[in-house]
Amino acid sequence: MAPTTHSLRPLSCWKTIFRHTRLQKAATRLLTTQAQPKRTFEESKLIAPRRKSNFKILGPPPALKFKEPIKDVTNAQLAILDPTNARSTLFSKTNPEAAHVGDILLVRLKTGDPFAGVCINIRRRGIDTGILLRNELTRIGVEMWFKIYSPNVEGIEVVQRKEKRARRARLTYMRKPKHDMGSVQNIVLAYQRSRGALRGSGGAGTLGKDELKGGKRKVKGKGKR
Amino acid sequence: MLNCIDNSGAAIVECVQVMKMKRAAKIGTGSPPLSPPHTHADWCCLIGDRIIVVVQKQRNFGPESGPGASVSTSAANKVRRGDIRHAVVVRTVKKLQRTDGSVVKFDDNACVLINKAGEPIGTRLNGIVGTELRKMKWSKILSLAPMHL
Amino acid sequence: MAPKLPISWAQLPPTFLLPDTFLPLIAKRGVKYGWTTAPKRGKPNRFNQQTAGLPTLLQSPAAALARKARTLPLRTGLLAIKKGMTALYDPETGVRTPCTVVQLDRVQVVAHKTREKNGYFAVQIGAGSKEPGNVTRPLLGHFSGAGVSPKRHLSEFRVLNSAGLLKIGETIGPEWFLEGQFVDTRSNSRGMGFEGGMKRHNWKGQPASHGNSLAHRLMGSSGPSQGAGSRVHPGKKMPGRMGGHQVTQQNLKVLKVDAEKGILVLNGAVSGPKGCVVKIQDAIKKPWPTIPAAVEDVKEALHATA
Repeated sequence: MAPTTHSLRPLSCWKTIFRHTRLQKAATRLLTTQAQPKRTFEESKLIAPRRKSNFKILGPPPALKFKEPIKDVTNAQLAILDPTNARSTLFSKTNPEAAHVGDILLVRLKTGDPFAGVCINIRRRGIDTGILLRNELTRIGVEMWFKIYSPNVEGIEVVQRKEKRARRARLTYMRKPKHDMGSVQNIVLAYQRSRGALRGSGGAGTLGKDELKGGKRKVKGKGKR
Repeated sequence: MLNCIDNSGAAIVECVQVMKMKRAAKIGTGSPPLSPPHTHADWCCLIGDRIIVVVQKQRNFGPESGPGASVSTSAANKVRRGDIRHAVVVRTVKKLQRTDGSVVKFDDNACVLINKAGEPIGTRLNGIVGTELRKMKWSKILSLAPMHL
Repeated sequence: MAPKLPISWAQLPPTFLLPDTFLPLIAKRGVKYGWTTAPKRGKPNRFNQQTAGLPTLLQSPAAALARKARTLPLRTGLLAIKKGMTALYDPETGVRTPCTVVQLDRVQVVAHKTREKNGYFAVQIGAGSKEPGNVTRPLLGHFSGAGVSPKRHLSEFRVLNSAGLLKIGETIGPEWFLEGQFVDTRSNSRGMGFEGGMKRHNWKGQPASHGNSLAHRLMGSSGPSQGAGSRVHPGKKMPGRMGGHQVTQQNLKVLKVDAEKGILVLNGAVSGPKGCVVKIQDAIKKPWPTIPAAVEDVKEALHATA
């Protein structure tokens, strides 16, 4: 039903043509904005491409359940290096019997002599947890970091506890001459002698029992004070 | 300036040269030697490194340090002030990490004088030394030391 | 206008009858002193080639492939996520080894790049997953064509030849690498932001005293004056954005492979923050690893595509 146009005078009919297009455009607009049935929630959730597609979108394969591999690796290591959980409890923050900064600790090593000193820093980093001990040997100040889970460390014992809780997390001020404790060798030697006597009375124990005994002694020592 | 802890006669010496640069290859750590050192840390010398020192202060032995003791002192001392000698570093303030993650740090820097052949000049040491000396083939110094760590 | 010479190829005698000197098929004319003497804009024809008689170019794609023949890995690498660092202790010797843990997340082969089509051989690897609504339609088609789900990370790993093209859709686990072998890792380093020259380029800085005023950490001169054209030459190191660029760590040993947890434990440090994407491939400076029978099924898949 196109409007009749004059073939001889084509320009005269512009007005008619324009009106016709306008009307057509309005009609199309009406058509597209017609009310559509509302999609349900399930329908909208479906991955439905707007246009018809000839390919299928695959869902992702199931994800791995192991979200914290660092923890897994650390725990696997701890199971080998600290099977009795003795070291972890000795330095755990929740344990009231734990070793604290300011205590005198003795580290028995697999290779070489044991090293004892005042603990002036505890660095808690999972498997990399370390303690900083300070002592004076042959009148020279010596500081050593030990990784508490290192296989070279045979055992860690508390020789003497600090009477009052240290009010700092790191006692680096103890390096200064004013606060330096000096040598703690005498205290450690006395401790080792008393421990030797204790062991003599109780009978020689195996290595694992040894550590347990050390723990018991700690409790006793605390009760005395 | 670092302490000298043997009985060669020197008390305080000054380091004038570090003779290493091939340290990595010497220990056999597998890492290639650091060709020209580019950071400050590479110039540092650690326990077991050989250095060249100048004796700055002599040690006085025995109680007889009155007048006329200077002759005996010079006789007892194997080195004199101003001597240029080789030495081995035995203690450092700089922290030194070991393979198991433990770290050792001393409160002073100290060395032991040696001759060109690498034998210690003194006969006794007074003071603790680092165990790294063994790894660096200085077992003789290690056996002289009263204690090692 | 001169008439055209009525010569056509049909009239010439066959080539084997023509003496070489009569009509050299490889043009030697115009080449003297090792380079061509043909005019710059001269129209090159069959007997007047610009490159005739000159040594073959080293800038061609073929030459590039030949150069790379020794350093291109035989098999593809994979994409992993850096999870952090920890340490391993040897219970016997007590040696502590710092290590990096990386995890694999649904790593699959998505596409191939071939010599015929792209000029080189490479395997496109995808990892992770992405909501299909957040992926453009061209990419959705790319993934579905490969038969894999939309991936968050995509990366190409070049391989030497078509034998290294793993089958499309194949899933790669951490057991792709062997314990004890060496790998190279590539990842974007931690971004430092805008940093000064001393930190960015390890400059010395300027003296603290001797009349220095407010210029202790400045870059100093940016170049000579009139002799150099009174301008800053291209490539002058200056303060600017530091970090956040790709860093390759070579020859990292694979300490542990855990297929169940999907993790690889690598010796030492890998650049980048936790959670960054790490490209891992066989180390190019070590002998290629020999794949034992345990990975035979993967190998078969390799042969099937080859």
